Amino acid sequence: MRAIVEGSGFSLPNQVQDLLTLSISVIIESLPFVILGILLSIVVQVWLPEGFLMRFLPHNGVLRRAGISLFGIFLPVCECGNVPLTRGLMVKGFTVAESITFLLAAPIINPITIITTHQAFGFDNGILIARIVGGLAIANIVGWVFSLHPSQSSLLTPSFIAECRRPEHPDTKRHKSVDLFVRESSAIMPALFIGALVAGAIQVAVPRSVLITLGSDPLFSILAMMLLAFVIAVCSNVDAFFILPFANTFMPGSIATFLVFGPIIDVKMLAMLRTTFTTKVLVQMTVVVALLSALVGLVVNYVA
Amino acid sequence: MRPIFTEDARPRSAARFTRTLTALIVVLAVLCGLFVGLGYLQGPKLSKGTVDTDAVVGQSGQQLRLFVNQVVAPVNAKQVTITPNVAHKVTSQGGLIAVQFDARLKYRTDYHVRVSGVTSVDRGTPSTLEYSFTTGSPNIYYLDRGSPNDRIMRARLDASPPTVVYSTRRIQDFALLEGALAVVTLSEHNESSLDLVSLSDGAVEHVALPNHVVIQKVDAAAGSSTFGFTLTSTGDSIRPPYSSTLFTLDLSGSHTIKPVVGLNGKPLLVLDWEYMPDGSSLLALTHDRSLFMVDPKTPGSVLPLGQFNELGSISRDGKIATVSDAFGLISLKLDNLRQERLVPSPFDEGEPYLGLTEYLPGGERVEKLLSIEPDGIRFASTVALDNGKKSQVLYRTPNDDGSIQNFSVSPNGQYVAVEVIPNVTTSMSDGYYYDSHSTSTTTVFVDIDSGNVVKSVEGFDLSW
Repeated sequence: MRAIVEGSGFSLPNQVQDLLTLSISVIIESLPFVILGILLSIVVQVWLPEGFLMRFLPHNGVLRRAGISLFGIFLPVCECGNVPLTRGLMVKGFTVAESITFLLAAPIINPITIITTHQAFGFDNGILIARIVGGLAIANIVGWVFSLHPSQSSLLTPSFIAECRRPEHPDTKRHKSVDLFVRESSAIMPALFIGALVAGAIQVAVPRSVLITLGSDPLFSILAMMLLAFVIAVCSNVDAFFILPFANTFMPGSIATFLVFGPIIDVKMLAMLRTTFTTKVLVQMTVVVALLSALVGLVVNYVA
Repeated sequence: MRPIFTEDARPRSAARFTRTLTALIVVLAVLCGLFVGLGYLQGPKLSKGTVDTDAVVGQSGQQLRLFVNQVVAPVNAKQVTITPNVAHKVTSQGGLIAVQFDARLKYRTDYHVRVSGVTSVDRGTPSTLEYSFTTGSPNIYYLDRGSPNDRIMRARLDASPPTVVYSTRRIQDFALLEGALAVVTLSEHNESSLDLVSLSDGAVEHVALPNHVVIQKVDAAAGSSTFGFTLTSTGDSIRPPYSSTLFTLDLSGSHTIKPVVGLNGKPLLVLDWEYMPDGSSLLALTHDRSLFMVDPKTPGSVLPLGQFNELGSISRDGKIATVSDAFGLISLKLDNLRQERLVPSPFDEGEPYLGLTEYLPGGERVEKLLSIEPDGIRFASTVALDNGKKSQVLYRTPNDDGSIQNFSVSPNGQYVAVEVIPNVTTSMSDGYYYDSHSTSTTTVFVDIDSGNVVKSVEGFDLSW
């Protein structure tokens, strides 16, 4: 981009350059995991035997969701990759609530996220423990709430329901996989690009120094970190290193909040989730996740 | 038809979902409000503290770093109390409070640090931070000569047994450096060779020296990567190339020896020399009995300090050197060159002669005193603590059968290591042509406050 601009003799304003740099960095960071997520989704939908995943899960709803929330341990995919995978799980027969449980827990308890968080913070101030336990608790609580909804299908967008109801073509698994890859990519990629662009735009518009000045206040430090996580939309696999330099300025609870809230809710994720869930569901989910994340941070601040 | 997402088979009502969701949000909001209130009432909390428990004993100016869970308002020294009391400075930035100890701390001692009135930057509820730590017992090194090999030993001032750090034939002398030992060995022809021994992996690097020389007076500042020594040519040449010529070697540089030059630009020929405690410069007493302060790394940085017969010790704070002239010992203040003749304070054992003297951080002196025995023939040697009014015995050999050879005060002034021959009548020399010692030489560690012997090791040439 810079080479093209310099070659043409045309100079972009600094803010536009920052916007492009930030947006492209989010896309580059997320793209491999989105593709990996789509591939895993294809494996789940096309290649796994019918009922394979269900076979190992308990029948009790709470225990079943608890088991599903641990799936992420085996899947080194960050939050954006989990969106297509979640869609695949629903197509494969999981309830919407179960799929939401997986969606929220997986990016936090995936092995890469746990390792990088440990590398960044060790066991200092209980941040790592708060992230894992808090992430699992949030996923299961939100999953439980939505399991109470009388009409699971009403939680989903009409376009995704239509996608799910598409008749299967009597074709080979290979053709089905290619077809699924094309369709999932067409649904997810635009959302990723739009989300990345919005994340970049907000970062350019809101100076980071504004957020940092709030770092020492028990309440505002947590709100600032939630806002930062929402805006920055950084991948859960590397977010611990991103936030590490803030650890000396912000209270440890606010760091924990950033690490549980960010992988679940941010501008990029909302854009991608909008392909699957209704706006009302996303608003409800965001409110509950925000309150639970704040509570995790406040408890860490009080106890640690 | 392909499988699609599953609808829960159990009947649900939309109202129940809405009620549950609303109740959950309300409960979470109340819990958040409760913890916000508790957070404001709690004030800043200590997340962790870090301090190098060995370094605080060996060096002054070390820091205890207290990490607070939020950015705090500036903290001053009056808010910090340390038990036992230690002079200190305090700085704070962000969520970090740094307590700097002006003096070295005591070995194996519990310290308690209390910081009161700590508030966040918005001056919320003040809180008191408390942190305790126990200082370490840093390694000490000494030379233990034996057969077939001599050994450089590492020990601590606790009950743990010493370990061998390096072993080879005929070790003449050594110096402790940062991460390494400089080891001087004697050949069968009584010529010196110099090796650098890594303390981490034991790797040995040989240092090139001029042919047919002997190394003497090896010294290094604590924790330094530089050490020095004198080179003297062996043989019977009328004009030998080296005659107590002072050299240094910097491990952080090219590992080649470099002469220390004097005011005339020529290498210094010294009777004695010693590094200043911080290693930045050295004191050198030249053959013409001139005392200089020299910075070996800065050409031309040579400061004349006066004419003296001998160079004794330098206080750990680097402010006072003990020297001697024809009439006895003198304390020389290095900042203004004021001299004060040293005489021992009244001593119960009679009128002693004053020997080696070393200043403690508080201004007291540890002295080697020689007294004539009642038989009028023998001398009794004693290490005493002189507070300016009275000298009291710190250590003497049992029945005064032995002889005190040397002593060295620990960097923090808590212990004195006394090099003794326990019984002079049975003493035998190890037969080394240079730096010979009695085979029975023992180093005894004495607590200066109590006068108690806390440890003794067989060997000498102690490096703290």
